[in-house]
Amino acid sequence: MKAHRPPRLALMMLKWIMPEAIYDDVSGDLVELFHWRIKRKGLFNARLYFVKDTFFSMRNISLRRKITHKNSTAMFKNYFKVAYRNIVRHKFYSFANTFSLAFGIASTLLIALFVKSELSFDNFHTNSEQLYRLNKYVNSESGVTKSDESSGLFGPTMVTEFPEVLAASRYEGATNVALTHNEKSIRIPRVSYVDDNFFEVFDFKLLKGNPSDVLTRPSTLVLTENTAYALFGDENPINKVVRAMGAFDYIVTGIVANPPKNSHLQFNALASWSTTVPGVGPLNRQWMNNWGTQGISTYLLLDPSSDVKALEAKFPAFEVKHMPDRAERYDMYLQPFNEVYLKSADIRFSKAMTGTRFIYILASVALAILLIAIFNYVNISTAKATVRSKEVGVRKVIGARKKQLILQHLVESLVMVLLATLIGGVLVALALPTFNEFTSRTLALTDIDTLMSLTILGLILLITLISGIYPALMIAGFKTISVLRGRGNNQQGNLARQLLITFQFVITIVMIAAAAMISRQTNFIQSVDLGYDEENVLMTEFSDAIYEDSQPFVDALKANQYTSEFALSQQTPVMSNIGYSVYLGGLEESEVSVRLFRVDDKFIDFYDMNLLTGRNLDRKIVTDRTAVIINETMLKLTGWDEPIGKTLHIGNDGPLFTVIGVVEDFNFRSLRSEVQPIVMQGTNRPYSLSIKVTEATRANAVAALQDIWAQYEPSEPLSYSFLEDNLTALYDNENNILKAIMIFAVISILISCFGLYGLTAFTVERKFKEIGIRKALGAGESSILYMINKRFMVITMLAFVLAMPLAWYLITQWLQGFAYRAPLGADIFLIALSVTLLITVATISLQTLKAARTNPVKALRME
Amino acid sequence: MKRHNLGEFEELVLLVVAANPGNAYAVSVKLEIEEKANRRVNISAVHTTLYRLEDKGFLVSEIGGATNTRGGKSKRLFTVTAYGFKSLKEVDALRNTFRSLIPQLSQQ
Repeated sequence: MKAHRPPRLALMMLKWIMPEAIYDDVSGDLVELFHWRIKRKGLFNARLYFVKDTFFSMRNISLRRKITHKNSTAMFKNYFKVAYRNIVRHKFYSFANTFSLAFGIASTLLIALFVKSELSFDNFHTNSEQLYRLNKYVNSESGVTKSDESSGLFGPTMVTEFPEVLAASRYEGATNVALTHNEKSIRIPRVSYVDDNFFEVFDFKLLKGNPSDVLTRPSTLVLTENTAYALFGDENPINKVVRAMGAFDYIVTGIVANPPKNSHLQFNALASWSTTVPGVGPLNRQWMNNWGTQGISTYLLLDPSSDVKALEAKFPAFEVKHMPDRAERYDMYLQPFNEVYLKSADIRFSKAMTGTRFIYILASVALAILLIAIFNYVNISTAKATVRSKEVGVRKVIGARKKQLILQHLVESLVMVLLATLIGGVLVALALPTFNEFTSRTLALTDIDTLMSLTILGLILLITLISGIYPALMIAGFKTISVLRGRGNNQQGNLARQLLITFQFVITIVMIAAAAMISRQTNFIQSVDLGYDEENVLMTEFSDAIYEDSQPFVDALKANQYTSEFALSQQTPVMSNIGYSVYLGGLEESEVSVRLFRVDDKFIDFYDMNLLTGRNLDRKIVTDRTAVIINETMLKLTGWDEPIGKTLHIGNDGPLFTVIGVVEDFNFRSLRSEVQPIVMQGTNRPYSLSIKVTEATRANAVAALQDIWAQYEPSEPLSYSFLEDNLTALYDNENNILKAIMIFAVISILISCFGLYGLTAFTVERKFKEIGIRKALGAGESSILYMINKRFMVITMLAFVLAMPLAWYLITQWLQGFAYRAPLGADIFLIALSVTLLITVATISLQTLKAARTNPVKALRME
Repeated sequence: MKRHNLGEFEELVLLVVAANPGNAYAVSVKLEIEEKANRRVNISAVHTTLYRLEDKGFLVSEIGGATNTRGGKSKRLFTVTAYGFKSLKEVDALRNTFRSLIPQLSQQ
């Protein structure tokens, strides 16, 4: 009779599901039944029944299961014990392993906290999902630019014309404002004019006052906690009178909590928008309340159900209706409120913000550090594993299964990773204050929320798995016999180790090159010729009283020997933020967005700027009231061959100005951005004062200025600064983050060194006897050093070849963000290579030398 | 030893094992029940019951011979223990006690 076999798959299933103790009985029974059924019901039915029986046998899945008792708790106890013993026995390896992992985890944690705080910007508003900023594309001859400026009438008109716009909140800041109450006066960095619905649209917390009408009436003022305390101390400021912008009296109607750090809207006080409306408030700010001038920010609150795209589609018609002369050039769009902070780098005149670039850089640095640390772990533990092969052999002989050996080594990695995480946590706690200072953030360990702790937990498991699985598999795969005979599997894992080291070196070399380039670029930016003389300039801004009648004050300055050399302008050059539209004479469709500098006739000479052609402004020439000087960039934009005598309008309906000169480009702003087109115009209403001092007379000049100031402004203290400080402040935020990146780069290099050091220690240990024999045969120290170093040199060179294009690509990408770039030469890579080689040789030789100097007898006697 | 109650199917399996001394294993029990009681029984149910009865002490088992038709696997042969017989008797006795009180049943 031909022997039929039951379905193989079902039989396998059966083996898999049945407890070992009864598998034989059960499968025997099923097979017997199968054969019995073949005779009676045919092969097909028998097979079908066999599958059915197998399926039903699942009910017996737990039958007699307890007979195979594994005693795994005891085993786990043993794993922990052995792990502990191993950590203690190989103190150095354990130290190198744990600390590199700890540094890796700490860096990741720190950077994660930073990234989280960056991403959390502006998300504390309940409406943030429905909030948008009204931006626009501006089409001009120089191309399309983005701008966040809008007209003061856009918002309110949109609320009435578009049902989906629930509310509009306008925002316009005034900087460096003096507040005076009775005799006391303070200066605050920023007051913002906002609509009366400000506290309904945004979630800034009003501590005192009624949110719905606190900013309704003209000349009302809401102070932040800090401002209120600075001006009033413990007194209740509500309903008190404060003299502020425009030397008008304001009534304090509320106190608002200081704006959270993670808000892009920052202010020290809020004033009611109605204050600025001509005919309603005292300020009479025409430009903030007409269709033509676009200089304020508008935030729109949309109905949750509205379609943003559909709303944007209505904008062109809106523009045609309300400002037909500009509709062609403008293209309004909505920017989600949550993206304002991170995604505004390309928006003109928008404040410099960290942007996503830093987040990407930092995140990749964190990942790199973590990878290096994990590779260290893998390298050191696979290397160490060959030493522990005896233990593995004995375990196998006693009956350890492969699964158990893998588990044992995973448990060991888990212990290490947990330890490293603890140490990493402590490191983060220690480093946070410094890190906060660097990045001017207020991060805290308490920022770690549930989601983040879960992520950390997941990360711990992931690191354990990644770092533990390869060594575990390798160890478990040792051949019992050869291991016990003492033929260690020396070759096993060698290739993998070398690959990992190469990879580590690649990361290290990229890091060093990047760090070198970052520091070069930072220095470069600070040494770029700004187009004017920025040294030793003392700066201040007029108080309202002096601004109203500045001539006597100016005369007094002129009379004093320390302050006699000065220049006046309407805006502080560094802060100058007013964007204007100018129209070239005779051309209707020729709008150019420019910065307007209103300066006196000494300004250009004072700052030692270069006039390329034409002449300077001159107060004595009457026609110079309608004369302007433009900069090179403006000249290029207009495309004029002969600029002198050309005309332009400033603003929509301004008078005609004649160009009398062209000045070489100068840069008062961050060098990330290109020089902007500038128009310089004479002024007789100065507000900002620049005084030339010398290194020696600095103190005298400050004292003299203070005296003169006190004569004309008794109620308000003088606040002054030096231009150089203001310029460095432009880069403060950025420089500090770059410094942080550099520090992380150094950490990653250190971790690599740790790993390398550990690995050499291991190599030397393994070759101790070889070194002894070589020495006994007459080899010198240098040839032994060479022997060990050789391999690592080859790896370094290989890594360098791989790292160079990567580093080149990354650095070039980073440099794209700067208008002014330091040259990226081969020297950067040579620096990286030589630093790496130096570190490698030093690390290796430190270990090898010890072995090379040992008496060979010592090595050979050990048997 | 704790007293165990016998379920209906358990009792049936126990009786079949007792009636087939020396040849009581899962397949024979299943076929026997199917033939005599005329009910379909899945082999896995028989397994469950046999092993459970062994756990309860009604049965003991030993490894029997292997045959080709079993794919080289040996049989597990079951025998009723003294405790098993005692339990069977007790069940019968209990039933008879009640039966004798019921006139409709006590008359043949």
